[in-house]
Formats: sequence, structure tokens, C-alpha cells
Amino acid sequence: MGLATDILSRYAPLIDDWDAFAAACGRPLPAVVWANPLRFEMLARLNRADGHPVETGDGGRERAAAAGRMLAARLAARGNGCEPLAWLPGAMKVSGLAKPGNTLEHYLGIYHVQEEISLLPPRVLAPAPGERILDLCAAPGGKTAQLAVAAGAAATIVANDVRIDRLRALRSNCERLGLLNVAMTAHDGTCFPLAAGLFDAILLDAPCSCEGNVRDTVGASYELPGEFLTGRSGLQATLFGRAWKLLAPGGRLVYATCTFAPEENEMVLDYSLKDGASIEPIAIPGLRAGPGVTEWRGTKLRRDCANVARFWPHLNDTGGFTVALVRKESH
Amino acid sequence: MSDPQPFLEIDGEPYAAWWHDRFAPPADPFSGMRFYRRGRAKIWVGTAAIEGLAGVRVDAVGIHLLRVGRRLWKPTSAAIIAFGGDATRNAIDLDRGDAASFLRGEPLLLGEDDERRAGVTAGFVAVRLEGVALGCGEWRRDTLLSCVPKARQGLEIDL
Repeated sequence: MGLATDILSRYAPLIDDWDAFAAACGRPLPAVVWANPLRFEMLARLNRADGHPVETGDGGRERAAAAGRMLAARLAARGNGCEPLAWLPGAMKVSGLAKPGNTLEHYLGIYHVQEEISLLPPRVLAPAPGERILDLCAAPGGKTAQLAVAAGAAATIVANDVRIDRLRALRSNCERLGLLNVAMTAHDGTCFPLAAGLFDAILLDAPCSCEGNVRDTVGASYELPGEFLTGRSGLQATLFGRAWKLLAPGGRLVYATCTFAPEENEMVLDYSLKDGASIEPIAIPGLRAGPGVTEWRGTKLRRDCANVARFWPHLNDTGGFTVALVRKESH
Repeated sequence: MSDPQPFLEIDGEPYAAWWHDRFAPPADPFSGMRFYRRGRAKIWVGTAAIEGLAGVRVDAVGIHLLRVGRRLWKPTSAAIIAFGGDATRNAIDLDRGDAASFLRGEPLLLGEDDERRAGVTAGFVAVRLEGVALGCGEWRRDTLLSCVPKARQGLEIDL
């Protein structure tokens, strides 16, 4: 932990409670899963056969919550502890599940394993029925799946990734979870074809230096590099520029990274955004966020960068994520 | 970059008809869906609109349903899991022990008087546990062969 806090100490001026932050970074992350409402009937059938509670689950969000309760009943019967996430229906912290990827329920796509705070960007994008949505850096596909489930059968999600090994993981997850409204594409996101037309909403979960994953690495051999590396910012800005061209007037873009560095978050937005765009406030009941950065190491940034939401690990006992909701003006 | 094998939206009627003929589901599992073909032999099913993706390298759309073109059309395990749970024909229901073997990719011999093979005809079948489809099997000469993808056979799934 010594090395990680050394490099992360550059963010001390941004953090309300350094000791709580450092302590959180040294704890392993709780396992989190979300129940897949597309497998509702399957889950009900298994629960009926095994004598666990069965629900009817009418309506969208209620269906997700009901699927979550049925899944929790199954896991609890097996001796696992389940604690629902207050801010996301159907998702829960699970304890005692040694190999969450080796259960029948996982094999059947009844649930997906995903770090709690990485569940947030699709929730912020808030897909609406029938929308055309682009997930530009989609693999391994957990967020794609959330978008697909939330947007419904009348929507189309274009899930893109560039690397073959990551595309394989994306395809495997989409198939396992039974996603019917997803088209997977294989392009370098920085030159995703403009011929694809415009999208109502875009998720840009950009490749980053992953400082927010520091808790994943507790007890693991991986360590953060010894100093902050600036090399990602250019790629992030190029990806953002492409995504912006693909966004319809009036559309929404969520820019997210699992890293703390302003160089990879607010500064990318400040560099990329001109007139005709606004960064909107993000408020998720049940989740605490720190404010975005409007000045960093002597550089003043756009004032609406204050609306960027910074989810530091100690605020909600999660990994770290930085999320911005950007709206393009309609012309 | 153009794809040598683009996805084309097609009339799905022959493939839905094949599924109904083989598995006789009580309701149409493909109601409101689109069908797509890639290359000569791969049929996919889903709801995604791909009209606008002509210049885009598409790698998958919805769920890979069938491989056609050879003598027997072969459903994928993903398709059986999604659409095969309600099969009233050519489905084989296993207990937990046999289901675990099936998921490991092991063949299962079912003798002539085994009730589980009643009415099953040679070809691809929906394999189920507790009324839930686990994947595609092939019924051939008293034996149920597992068509669970090799990558997933090694998972040692805890039933």
C-alpha cells in the first residue's frame, strides 16, 4: 500500500478525508453482482423447482428488483450473505461466494459480476426505450449489458471494442446474458466510422491508468506505476473527439474513467469541449460524490467541470470512478 | 475497413419454422425479432437495427441461432438457453448429476427403456435441468453428446 499512497498523494488536495481514503485503498473490494431481468422467467423456474421464493415482477425497475430478490434468496440458501445496493435495484454485495464465475446461475446468465462503482456510468447515461446508443470502448461488456437491459427491445446498442481478446470477452458476456438488442463492432474507437450515423446517447468508458482499481490489487502482484504517467490523455481526447462527432444534437455523452487524475478527466473535457456543450450535474440518491476539479496545478478549467462527479473509494466503500454527463446542444 | 462477411438482415421464416418443427414451443420465441445472416451458414437472431451499420465492421448481432448449410442444422448452446426452455419435443431433462456431466462435455448413454429419450429423434436437442435449458446436445445412437462450447466445459460449474 505504501507505493500506491505515494503516487496517489498528488490527489491529497482534492480529497476531503485523506486517512479514510488511504484506509479504503488498503481494503479489498466486496464482490458485487446484478441480477439479469432478461433471465427473469428462468430464475423463477429454478426457484420454483428448488422451493425458493418466486415473484411476478411487473414493470421495468420493479422487475429488476424482483429478479434481485429471487437471486438473493437462492444465494442465501447456499450460505452466501447478500446486501442489496440501495442505489441500484437488482444489484447486491455478496459474501462467501468463492468463485462467482463458476455457478450454474452465472453460466446461465442469471447474474453478472461487476464492481459496484463501475455500475454507475450506464445509470448516469439513463438509456430510454428505442434509443440508438453507442458504447465506444465496450469490453468486457458489463456496462453494455446494463445499457441493453435498461434500453429495452426497441433500442439498439452498438458495442465496440478494438482488441481481439477483449472482443472475445465482450461477445462471451453478451451471449451468456442473452442480449438481443446489441450489435458488436470491431473498430479502433478513435476512427469509428462516421458512416454509422448519429447516436442519441454515447458511453465513453475510456482506457485509463486505472488508479481507481487500487483496491482490486490489494494482495495481488500488480502495482500502480511509481509515478503518474500522462500518456493516456491524448488517446482519451482523440476518443472523445470521435464520440462527439457521432453524437446527435441534443444527445448525451457519459465520459467515465476508473482513475483519479484530472489529466485524464476534467482536463480531457476542458480540452475537448467548445461552445454548444455543457457538463451537467450528476445526483444518484444513495451515492456520495466529490466535486469535479476546476483548477489543477495552476491550470484553470471550464467552470462546469465542477459538475464532474468523483467517486473516491472511501465515500461509498467502492473502487474509484470519475464520471461526467455531457449534453450537446440541439441546433 | 469493410468486413468480408457482413451481416445481412434476412427473412427469418425458414429458420423460425425449423425451430418450431424441431422443438414445438407452445409460443413463438421469436415474436417481434429480426434475423440476420453472416456468410453462407450462420444465422443470428435479435432485435438490433443494423440498417445504419453498412460501413461498419460488425462482429455479432444478438444471439447466434443456427449453423445451416450442412445436412443437419445446428442450434448454438446460447440459442438453446435463450429459446429452448419451453421445448415440447426433442428435449432431454437431466438430474443434477447428469447435468454436471453434460456441462463438462461428457457423453451420456441412455438405454432403450430410459424414459428421458422417449420421442426424441436423431439430431440436436435441448438439454434441461429443472425446466431450464442448459445447452445444446446431439442425440445419436443411444448417446447424448454435449455441444457445450469447449471453453465453457472446463468451468467445473457448481450445481
